Formats: sequence, C-alpha cells, structure tokens
Amino acid sequence: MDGNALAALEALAPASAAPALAPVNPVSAQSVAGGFDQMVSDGLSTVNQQLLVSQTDLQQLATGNAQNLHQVMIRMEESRLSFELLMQVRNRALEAYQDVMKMQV
Amino acid sequence: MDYSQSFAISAAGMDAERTRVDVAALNLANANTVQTPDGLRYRPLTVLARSAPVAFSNQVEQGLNSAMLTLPQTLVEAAAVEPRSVYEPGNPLANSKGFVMYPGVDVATEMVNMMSAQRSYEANIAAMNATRTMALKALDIGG
Repeated sequence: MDGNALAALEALAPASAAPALAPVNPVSAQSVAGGFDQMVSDGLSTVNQQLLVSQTDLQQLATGNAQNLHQVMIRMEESRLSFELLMQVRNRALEAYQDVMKMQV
Repeated sequence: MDYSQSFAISAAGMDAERTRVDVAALNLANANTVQTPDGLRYRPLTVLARSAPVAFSNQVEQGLNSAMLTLPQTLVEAAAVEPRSVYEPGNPLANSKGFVMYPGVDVATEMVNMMSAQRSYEANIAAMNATRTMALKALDIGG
C-alpha cells in the first residue's frame, strides 16, 4: 500500500469520526500533529463515546423514557457507521504494518 | 461524520410527521366527546408546519448556505371550526333544546392526514437509509 494513501486515510479518521448529536471530545487539527498513537486513541475514544451514547439511549428505551424512537435509531446508526470506519482504518493500518514486516531487506 | 447533517435533516422531517400523526390521533380520539354544561369541549387541533433556517457548522462544504438550509418546524394550534350539534334529547349533557355539541372533527380528513403523514415519515426514513447506504458504500472503497 502506498504510504501517502495510508496517511491520507488516517488523516480522515478524526474528522470523520466527529460526534454528531452529542459533541464529545472533538478532535482538532492540532492533535493530529501529536503522532499516530495520539490520533488512534483520539479516534477510539470518540467512537467509544458514541457507542456509550447508544447504550444510554437503549437503556432509556428499555425503561420507557425514550423521547422518540427514530432519534435512538439514528444515533445507533451513527455509532455503527463510526465503528465501521474505525474497523476500516484498523484494517488499512494493520495491512500496511504487515506489509512492512514482511519486507525482505 | 459529515453524514450526521443528512441524518439531522431526516430526523427533523420525522419529528414533524410524528407530530402530525399525534395530532390526528388526538383529534380522532376526541371526535365523539361532548361539550359539558360548563362549556368545556375539545377543540380540534391543526399542525402548522413551516420551514425555518437552522445553523449547521459545515454548510459551506455541502454547497448549502444558511438561507437554503431550512428544516420543518411544527406549531400545533386549535382549528377554527364550529362544533357539530346533534339532536340527542336523551343525552344527559344535552341543552334545553335537546342538542349536544360534538367537536368539529372530520374523521375522513383526519384519516387522510394520518396516511399522508405516515407516508411522509416513510419517505424520510428512505432518505436516511439512502444516506446510510452511501456512507457504508464509501467505507467499502478499497476494501
């Protein structure tokens, strides 16, 4: 895989995983400069926050406190999309890492 | 994710349609209630849906400016319809001439409103699903 393409893909991650309805810990452009591990952990925490929001929504739905059903479903879809994006980024990163590890010197 | 704006647009539409269904159901539920002697009666409600501008953070990127991006906002008001008076001399709530006042709810109109709101709700969900499918397909790029 081309290194530039991977970098471009990783650069997409924080912006794309930005929270939608509940703004939690937005990732700014400065933190991208903090290194790859910082970027990954930021993205992970954002996705985790969205999953936690979905969990809270589902708990409220189960206890009958949900305001409306479609909002819960939409938040669930959003967290699912974020998780899918996370998985895709992880796949690309791991693929690149394995390519480098298998390289004959 | 920048798809959240599309989701928010569809969610606003769903909210509006749900209000319409709620109001139609309320009108239907109260269609056969009678005005009590103290003048208390049900007034049929109507939904006034209008489009109002909202502030999104990333409009420019989508090619939409704030004047274009308006979302439905609903306002529920009592409709100015006359009550329906029915001759029921045996009714304990009848007036001296034997008439009782029913709310002026047109059941057929309410049913049509409800069906239209239901279909519009489905249309909003279809729009949201299209957005979601596009997002998932975009994640398939290069995979």
